[in-house]
Amino acid sequence: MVKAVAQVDTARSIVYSILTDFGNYPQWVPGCERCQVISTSGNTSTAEIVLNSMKKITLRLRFDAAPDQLLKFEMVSCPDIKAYSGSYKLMNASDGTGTVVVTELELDAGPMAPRFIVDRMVKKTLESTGEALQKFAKTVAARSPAPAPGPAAAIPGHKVRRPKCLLRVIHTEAGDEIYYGGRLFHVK
Amino acid sequence: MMLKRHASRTVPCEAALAYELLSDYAAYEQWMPGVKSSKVLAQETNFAIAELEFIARPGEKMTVECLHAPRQTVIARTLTGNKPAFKLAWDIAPTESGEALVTVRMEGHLRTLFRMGWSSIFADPQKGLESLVDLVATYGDSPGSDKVIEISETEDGLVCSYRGTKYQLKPIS
Repeated sequence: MVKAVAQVDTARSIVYSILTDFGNYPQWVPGCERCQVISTSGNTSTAEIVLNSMKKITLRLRFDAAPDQLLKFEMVSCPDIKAYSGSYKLMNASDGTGTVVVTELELDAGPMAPRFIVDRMVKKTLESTGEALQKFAKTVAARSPAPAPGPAAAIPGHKVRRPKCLLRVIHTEAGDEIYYGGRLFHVK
Repeated sequence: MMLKRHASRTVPCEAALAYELLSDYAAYEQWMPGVKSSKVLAQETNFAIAELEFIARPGEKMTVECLHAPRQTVIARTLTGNKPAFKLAWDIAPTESGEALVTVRMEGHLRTLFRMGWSSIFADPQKGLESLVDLVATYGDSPGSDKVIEISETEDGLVCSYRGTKYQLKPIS
């Protein structure tokens, strides 16, 4: 399993609509040559995807979505690899400017491909997919009307500063404590 | 080579305050040894994504995932599959005297120590606890104590608290 985080300067609803528009994956997913939706039922879809990176593979994936929040995917069939699954988790950016996408991907390419090499490749793939998503989301946002905020709209990124104590005198059973200039003095 | 280190100490504050400070990831830059800057990218109820920069690696931002269970546990760890891999877990338990017993456990590769610097919390978790105690000292709400007077700098200016009553201070010269 490899995780990656991408910051996208676009509303969560737009990012979600891009991620669930499977037919348009070839437009932005690096190495995706074709993506055809086979079936859709509620928030579950099955699609056939042709990916061409180190090797050309044809995958059948099942996508399960929790609107605006999470998109999980899992391999249904593929003659070339043993397992392929993961998810996109969408969060509102704390600074109020967009969406943070946490991507997870588990790829088991079989006994011929060592895990550390596969994971390194997956990490690169996730990074390039994140960059591609950011770029594509900008073009989609430019032609879409401003969307409503997501279900768990973030508090805009104002960092509340804690009060900083300059001087304090405390009386305890063991004596008095004086805090001043970052140091604590005990007086009996 | 994987390293595991841990340290414990009683922190003179209630468990709730210790938890609040430890789960304030954006404030790590103010007290955690070795951390130069910290920023929360996104936060949900019990999960956050934060970005840390270490004094030993200026300019290199590291994304970490943070999990927190109120008043009990705070975990900050590298995203799975990313390097240098580390995990910093804080356990908080109230003591009979009403203070907080805080245990910090660090897990990481030896390379983590080199990359984060020997002065960081990864090399010496005890140092992290001492910094936490210093931070708590600036709050002065230790159980069983009687606060006589306190002057604090807040976003609204200087505030003085005397025998439980708060006063807003205004400059006169």
